[in-house]
Amino acid sequence: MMNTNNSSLLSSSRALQGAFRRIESGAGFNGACSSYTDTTGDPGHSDYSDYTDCPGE
Amino acid sequence: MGFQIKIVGDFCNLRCTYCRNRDFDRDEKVVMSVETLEKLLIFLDSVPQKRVRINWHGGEPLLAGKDFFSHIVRLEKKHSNKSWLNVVQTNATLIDDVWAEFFSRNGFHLGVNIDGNERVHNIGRRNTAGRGSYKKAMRGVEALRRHGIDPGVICTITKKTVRYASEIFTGLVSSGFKNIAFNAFYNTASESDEDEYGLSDRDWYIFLREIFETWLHANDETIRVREMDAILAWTRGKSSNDCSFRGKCSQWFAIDHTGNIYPCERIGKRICFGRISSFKDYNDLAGSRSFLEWKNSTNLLPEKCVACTFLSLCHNGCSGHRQADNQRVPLYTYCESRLDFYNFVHNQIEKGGEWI
Repeated sequence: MMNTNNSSLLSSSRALQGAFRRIESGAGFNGACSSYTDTTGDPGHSDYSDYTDCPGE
Repeated sequence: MGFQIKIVGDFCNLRCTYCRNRDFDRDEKVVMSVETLEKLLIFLDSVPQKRVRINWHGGEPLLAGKDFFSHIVRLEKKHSNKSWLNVVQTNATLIDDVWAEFFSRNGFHLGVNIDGNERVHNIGRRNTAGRGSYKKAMRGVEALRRHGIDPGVICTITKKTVRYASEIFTGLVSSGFKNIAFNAFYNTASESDEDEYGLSDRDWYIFLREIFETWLHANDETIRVREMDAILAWTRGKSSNDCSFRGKCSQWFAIDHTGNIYPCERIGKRICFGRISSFKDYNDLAGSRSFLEWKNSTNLLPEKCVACTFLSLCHNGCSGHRQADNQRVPLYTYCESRLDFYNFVHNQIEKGGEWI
């Protein structure tokens, strides 16, 4: 198993930054609403936005 | 609001060794009749929300044939006050350029099942002759891409593949997938300790951790992994709307080829709310005793969840993947895996960068 206990990796990670951008925008790669959930057929993906604010947080 | 429509029941052209539908009716080919399809769309037209998501599912839904899918498009146009979102979940082995052009022209979204690179995929995903299905499935994926469809991928992890996390992830990414979800195998048909495919908590935790590390090292901002995004969203005070992270099953139904309505394909057939023709409309179903009992049962929280830091992230997981705890309240089967994984990622993120 690789060692990820490495803050420089995390702070420079394009993977993480991309994920946070998706999460903050609530939109998918193509900018269309929920486009990145809609491409998998698993049950229960959201209709419009992938993320909702956690209640009470 | 979403509906998973099993238009060919559990019938499939593959015989994946781990298929959780293996105890059901896969040897008998059945296809939803056009008459039932029309009744189904009339029923779905009564859903209060304007936007209705339909996952055309199976078994292998493409076995219903191109004419059946043309009927779907025709009938949806007839009920045009709804915004229909069509998603097809397929093993991709039957997709050719004609199918791909049809899906592209009619705005269908596609999800495919690929279990990693060719070697790992072929461990479990085999045809009726017992041969691996990878090459045929990827030919289908390539046809979709030629027609401008970038399918998401669901990768099922079993005891036989769980130790190949890095190989699986790298295989998917090098095959061009950007939108990846991992499902831990969970056998609803047989819960024996001798189950040769089921994962232990430890197996699943180590797998998720290695995927996280491999994803980080791949360092590609365009690659989305469902399980990673869920925990990362939580670190930003958000919660994934994916049902396996929401703990609510009232927004999702499975309907089989005969029109019988179930809570979800993952629950199997042990709970049936009735047939679409037995309900006046969607509100009649939503107010029915059987549905309300089911909905309330899925909202029960074990004590462990009530006290858990990650409750707003996990919500006790998928209700189809729960087993009674010592107080007989259903607890998510992979609770410990999630706890270990979320603690690991959270700790890494906290140590991470100034932008957290």
